[in-house]
Amino acid sequence: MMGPFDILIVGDEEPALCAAACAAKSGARIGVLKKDDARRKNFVASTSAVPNFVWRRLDLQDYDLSLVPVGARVTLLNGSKAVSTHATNRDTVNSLVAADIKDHLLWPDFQNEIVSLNDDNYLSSLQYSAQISSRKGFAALLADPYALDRAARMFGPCIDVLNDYFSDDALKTHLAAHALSPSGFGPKERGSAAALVHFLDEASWRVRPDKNTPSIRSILEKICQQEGVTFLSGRVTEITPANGKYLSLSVGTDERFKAKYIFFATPDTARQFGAHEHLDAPINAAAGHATFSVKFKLAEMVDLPLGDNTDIFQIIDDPSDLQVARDKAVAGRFPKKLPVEFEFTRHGEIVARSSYLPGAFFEDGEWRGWTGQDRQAAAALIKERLTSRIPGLSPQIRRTETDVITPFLGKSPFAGNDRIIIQSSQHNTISAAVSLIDEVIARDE
Amino acid sequence: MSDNADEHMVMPDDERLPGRIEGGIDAIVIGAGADGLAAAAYLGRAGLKTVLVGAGKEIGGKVAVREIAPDVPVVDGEHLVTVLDPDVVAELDLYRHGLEYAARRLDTTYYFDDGEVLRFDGDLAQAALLSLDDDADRERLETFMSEMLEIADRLRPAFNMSVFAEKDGDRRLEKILASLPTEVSERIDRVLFGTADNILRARLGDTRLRALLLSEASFRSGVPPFEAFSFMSLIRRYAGEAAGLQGAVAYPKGGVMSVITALRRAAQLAKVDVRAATPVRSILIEGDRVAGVTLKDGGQLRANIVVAAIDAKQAYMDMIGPKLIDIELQRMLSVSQSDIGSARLHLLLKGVAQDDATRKNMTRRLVFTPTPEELSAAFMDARAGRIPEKLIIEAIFPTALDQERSLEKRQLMSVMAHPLPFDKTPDEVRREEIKKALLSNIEIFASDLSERIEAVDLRLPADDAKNTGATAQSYASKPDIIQQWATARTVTSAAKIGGFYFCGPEAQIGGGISCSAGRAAAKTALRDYKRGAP
Repeated sequence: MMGPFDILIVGDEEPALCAAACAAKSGARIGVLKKDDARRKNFVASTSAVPNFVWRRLDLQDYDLSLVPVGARVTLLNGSKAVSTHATNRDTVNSLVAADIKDHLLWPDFQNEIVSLNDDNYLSSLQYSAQISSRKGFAALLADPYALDRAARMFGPCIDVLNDYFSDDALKTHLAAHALSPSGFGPKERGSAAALVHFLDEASWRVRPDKNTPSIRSILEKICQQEGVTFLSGRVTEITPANGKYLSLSVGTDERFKAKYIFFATPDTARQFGAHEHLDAPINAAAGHATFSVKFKLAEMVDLPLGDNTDIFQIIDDPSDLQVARDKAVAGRFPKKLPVEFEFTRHGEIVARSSYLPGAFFEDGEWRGWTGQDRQAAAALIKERLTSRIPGLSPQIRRTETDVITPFLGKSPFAGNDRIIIQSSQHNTISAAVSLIDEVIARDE
Repeated sequence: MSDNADEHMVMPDDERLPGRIEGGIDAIVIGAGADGLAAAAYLGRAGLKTVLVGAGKEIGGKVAVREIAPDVPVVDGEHLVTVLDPDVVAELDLYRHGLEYAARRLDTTYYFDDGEVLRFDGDLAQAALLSLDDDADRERLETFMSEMLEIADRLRPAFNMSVFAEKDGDRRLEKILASLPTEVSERIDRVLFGTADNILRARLGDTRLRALLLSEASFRSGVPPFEAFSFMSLIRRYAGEAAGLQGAVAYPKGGVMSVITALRRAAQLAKVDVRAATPVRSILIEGDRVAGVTLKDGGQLRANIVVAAIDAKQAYMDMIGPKLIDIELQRMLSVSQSDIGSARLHLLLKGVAQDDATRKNMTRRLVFTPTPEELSAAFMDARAGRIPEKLIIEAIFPTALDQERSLEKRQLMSVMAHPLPFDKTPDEVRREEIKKALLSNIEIFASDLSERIEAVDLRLPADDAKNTGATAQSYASKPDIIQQWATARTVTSAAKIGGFYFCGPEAQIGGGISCSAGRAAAKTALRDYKRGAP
């Protein structure tokens, strides 16, 4: 029998491995439950940045790792209109001026004021998990009109925050699309403003490994092994409370072991493995969607209407598309005008994805899961959307791969258990996952 | 009500000439709805010479009586009492002033799409005992209800705002909430931000139970049940009290109008000068204090205390003016416009109940409960401006509940439906569509409805607003609880104009007639007055 572990981390995506390595390095006994599908890593082009404190703790300078920030964030709107924002305020203002967007004067204030909404400790801890939030914090919140106002803005609809500052539809659509696309949120939904707050944080600027260096994932795996992290595979099938502070877990059919906490480094993994009931914070209320990815291997690089292959792109037609698509997805149907995000891998492939697809389909009064036909339809929809902005794309496609992350259906093994911690932000996930696992360890001591 | 017209205190004509400046008044209350009447009664009782001015022709705000057929009166606005502040009832002696319940706690019959029916006792603590076959479900529901009723009870000071009328209200509230048992505060932490959908899914196995509680949580709320904070709307409702029982639903004799009548008698006993059809143009500010109001007819009323019991946009933007209010309040009043509303429908039906079971059911609160999928589709449709196919229907039969209102061979059905798109100016086509949608939903549980209809009367938020002169948006559904808390705290404290107090709809958390905002505004005014008095 393995373990016992202080923390079992479910999933082995980059934020999970970072959290595992950091926690193990500070002495915790860590297990990592690998996802059973190794293919998925092929669909990662950029990752969230590795913050300095993580870099130092893991001595990443000792490895041959070189991460380059992605270029611009670009939105390709309908009718060859496009908006882009950049890593520095100056570049962003310049590009907004060039695109003739009058709201450029407000940009620096907007960025600062919105990001500062996240400074409140109680609010930022509530976003993650009620389980480790500061107790009785709500008493202070309800008694403080200023904090209440911040909470109302931070956890309100994204569109309210944008309307408060800007009048230009293209700019608002651009920001909403980039901020919400990883979570599949609609801009009118409560909780969606938090995604905007996270997205605007400078630390959320994504990075890509340099062409000739090993992937960030392979380095993290190596560090985890050096630090004594135990890797497991299979799915959690049953959890029962054990004596003391432990949970007793079954993985697969015959393995049993104990752990104090179960940790999910991203909300998508939690949803995929059935911990959706524990997604109780406002920021991850966006349930009920699937994330569908397509990878196109290209014969030759294509011409882009704006930006270059270091940028991250959104395709969207109208400001209302995000909410319409979200509503359709929740109702279990394909949206017609699917919002799509795409970028280029360091090998020149296009990776396109959308979280505005239904987690399950509602047909004739019944819910059903994804089928091969649905995958084909989704891939065709994404290809159509890409072709609408990159006319020369189709002839260059040599190979197409698809992948879908669907929410767990059926009875959840995590239901009814405490000590399940979920990192909820979809932006700056590495930093958030490491900070959260530190908090869990600190609380345990 | 016509028989109350003589109770209306009318000033002699010669004293109400246009352009006249009237002094000798201590306090002016703007707005003749329940909160305005309550605030005025409190001020008058404390010995202040108080004038209450209302823009509409009648007293009562959106609660108004109309005839939909000869000798068939209906009450607009609210049709049930759910959150009436028990302190107001006791302190203003509303029972002595004629408030009387025909039914103190209505049982609820829930109807489902598939023809299934569930009945809940009006005493929610007993809810689990009724009409559920599965023992495990019953046990789960019982635990769930008792936990939720406790949370609701503990959060009451945060909902009714009365604590802010006291000195150091902020710190007092923090102290109350911080001293809760750990177990309770942990539960609050877990439900405060959650979605009704997630929480109910995790707590209750039975789909029908989940569907009916989802409907209760999202009824009259602007927040769809799968969005953050949606669960707190249910807690807010359970924190309310009607006729002395937490979470109950009560029907007063004569309908909700009798709450207004009792409040009005209380105000009159307190020597409040109540004036209908007296619209205010602006609030006079001199230096950093209020000095009175100017009326639309050109007259002026001067007083050192002005209490606004009207919507915040009118009070702050139109009557005080944007120059004198801070930017945060302006922002709050301009963003977050709800696009969802409810509708009222009155049906006059031919015939009477043929059997005891039907007769018994007509003395209950009837709720049609869409499936969770239909409910989420309804919110999406409503938000996108479309009329939902299925929606939540709450129906009562005033003529069966109240013997004095019974009609010969006819029945009156009063309906509130939610969610619908909120329209500022709905046209005839839209009205017909809404009417049709409502009738088809009612028909799911009341068969052969169409042959029995003698009169139909649809009432939308815009109609109420037109009648009372309010900003239509203020009658749309309320946003999430956190936003409501933030708004309520800002509108009741942000003016920083001496002598000005606010108790309009934005000062109240949740819907329904509560009067706690009116009470809090009056108490704050009186505290300041006593402190400032020589």
